[in-house]
Amino acid sequence: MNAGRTAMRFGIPVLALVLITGCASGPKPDAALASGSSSLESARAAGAPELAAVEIGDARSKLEQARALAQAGRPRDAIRMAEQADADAQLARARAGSEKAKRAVDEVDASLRTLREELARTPASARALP
Amino acid sequence: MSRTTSHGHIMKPFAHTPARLKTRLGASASALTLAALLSACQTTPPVNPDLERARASVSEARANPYAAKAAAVELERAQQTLVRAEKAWSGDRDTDQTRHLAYLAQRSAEVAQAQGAQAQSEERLTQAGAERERVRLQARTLEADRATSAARQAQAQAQSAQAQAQTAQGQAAQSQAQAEAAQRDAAASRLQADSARQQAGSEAERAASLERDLQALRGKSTQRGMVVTLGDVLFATGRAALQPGAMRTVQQLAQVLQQYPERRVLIEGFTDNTGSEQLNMELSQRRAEAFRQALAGAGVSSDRMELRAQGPANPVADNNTAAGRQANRRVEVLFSDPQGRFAAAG
Repeated sequence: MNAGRTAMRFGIPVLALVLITGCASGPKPDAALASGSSSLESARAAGAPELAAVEIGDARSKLEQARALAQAGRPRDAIRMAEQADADAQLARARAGSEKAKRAVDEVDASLRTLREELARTPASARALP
Repeated sequence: MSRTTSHGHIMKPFAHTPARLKTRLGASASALTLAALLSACQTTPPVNPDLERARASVSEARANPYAAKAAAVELERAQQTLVRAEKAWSGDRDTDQTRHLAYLAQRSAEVAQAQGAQAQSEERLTQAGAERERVRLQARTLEADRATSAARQAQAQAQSAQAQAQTAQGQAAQSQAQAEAAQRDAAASRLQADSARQQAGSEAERAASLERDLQALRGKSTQRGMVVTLGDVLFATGRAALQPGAMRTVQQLAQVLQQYPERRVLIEGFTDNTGSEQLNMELSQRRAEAFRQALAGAGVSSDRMELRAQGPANPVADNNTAAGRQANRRVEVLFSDPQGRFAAAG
């Protein structure tokens, strides 16, 4: 029991090391992961958690999956997953920006409507004065 | 390279995609038939649904004018990724790589669409801002107009109030002037009344004084006024010449008349009833005339004297006795009122 767990604890890293070493000549997912992480951070700063929750959620979970794949010694899959996470994060950021602009437009339209209504009321009362 | 991936992402189908897909499938089928006819041995890549979806997304994004203007870089990236996906499919038949690149191309197209939408919103924001400024300016102008009209109204009211005040002032001045005039009139009336009273007082006084003066001549106050009767004794019987003794009475009368220049005298001659009417009338005339000449001689102006022959009229005593007839032969001197008028003969 104890011996088996020890074997597991040491066996997996060793196996991973062997696999990574074996693929040392193949592509590394670091750059893709860093890029995805950076895009995710940028989307978060742009307010995506509130303005584009679905997209940033996709990006976050895919980035996690990419990290897991990288750790699992599947760099090619990790790179693809990180690239998709990057694309999702970029979309989250873009949609946060467009949503923000849309809300500003709604606000201005509402204030414009209020202003017009006030203006429509004012002449009547002004006419009632004299 | 073509290892199967454990993850499977779900691509949301687009509403319009099936129609396009059908068209494209039709077109591809035609192309396939044509290719098969031209060279039987050459293989044509089969339709890849992931690739078709990505193509549709990219061409849709390129058709959006806002994306074309504001997201040119992203559209270019989408196009390049789509080309890579097409190569991965047509060249390598690499399903996973094709699906991956198609996903990236589609995401890029969606980013371009979002950037286009943002640009459109920003443009609208600028317009709305300008419009809001315009409306605000309109509101301010309206407010200013209202303030101006209110000010004008207030000014008009002030002017009207001033005019009313001036009118009231004018009326007050007029009232004061009228009051002053009334006061002056009252004062004048009082003066006139005073003077009238004084005059009346003096007239009454003078009348009383005349009465006193004539008492020495046995004058009497009658309805016709003051009368002095000069008896027959002043004349010789049947004659009109005054006896010398009568001159004293004449002098006294002349003095009185000089004191009261406003008075005039009516000299009436009377006779008894003996003798003819005509004779008596002539006699009474001559006696009155004689008396007038005597008064004129004493300095009384003839203008102030009137004559009247009465004959035997208005006897004062019984003509059947000698004493009565003597009393009836007489001259009466009637004094006028202060205005020179005689009372109607009684």
